[in-house]
Amino acid sequence: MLMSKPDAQIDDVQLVARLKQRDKSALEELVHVHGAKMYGVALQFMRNESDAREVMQDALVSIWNKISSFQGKSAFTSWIYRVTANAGLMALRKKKRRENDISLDAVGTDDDDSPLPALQLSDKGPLPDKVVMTGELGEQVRAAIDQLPEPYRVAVLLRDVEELPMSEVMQETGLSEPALKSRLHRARLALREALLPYLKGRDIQKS
Amino acid sequence: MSMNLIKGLWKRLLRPDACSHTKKLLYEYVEGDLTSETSHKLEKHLGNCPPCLKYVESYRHTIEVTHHHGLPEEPMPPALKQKLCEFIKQHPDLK
Repeated sequence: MLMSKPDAQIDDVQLVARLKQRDKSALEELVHVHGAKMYGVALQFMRNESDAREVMQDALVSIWNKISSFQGKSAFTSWIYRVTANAGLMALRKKKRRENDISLDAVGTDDDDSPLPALQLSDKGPLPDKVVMTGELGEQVRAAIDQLPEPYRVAVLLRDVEELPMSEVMQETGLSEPALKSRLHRARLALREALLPYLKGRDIQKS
Repeated sequence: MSMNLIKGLWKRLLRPDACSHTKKLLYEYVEGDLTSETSHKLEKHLGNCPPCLKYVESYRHTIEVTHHHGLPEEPMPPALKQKLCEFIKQHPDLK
């Protein structure tokens, strides 16, 4: 039996077709339909509305210019978030060059086994089950990611959130495989520490 | 991590400080980068060491919740939406 596509998927198929036909109003519709998630991704990279807007603008230009390369092998939403994440990464690089005051090694080298500083979350109050039910876990996860130092945040966003292949993350970040693994591992340990009250096995010994 | 280093770490797993070396193999184990032999030995240790097992579980769970909850959806301020629509109409690269 043929399964019908969900409405959102049909809308995306139409949106892609219109974008490929160079229908500019489809780009505005994309902002209305997918803008909130694009904005969320942009904010996670840039942490302020003004920079996030620039990232969204860059992402919109990329979507417009690259839409012909989208072949529908992945979901359209995944593709636009990936484009937005890439725009975020490029913006961070530009910002770093401009400011020239943030070193990728500012928080320690990747060979350093010491944990990252403890992340301070706003509230660890609710019980885990309740947290999951109310969706508050998501807020805590995002707050924890947001507090990671930038190089670690970028690694986690690209690899664990966006689930890009290691090779692609290495290419995007310019890191060697050992350096990326080390950075990811340290970021995960810091997140684990921050989220411990909400995790399975949370009653275990501290690392 | 080189294979020699992993082998060395595994030899030390047989000693009383096995738990601290479990942590050192954690990333490779979770990513499936260990040989099946090392993985099997590690799992044998996990079967006998509840704290290490819980440590590994919490590490895995961290990755899961990061993936499931890390992608945020932020309501866009109306003014931002308007600015983006103006950008789309006016930007020379969007023709």
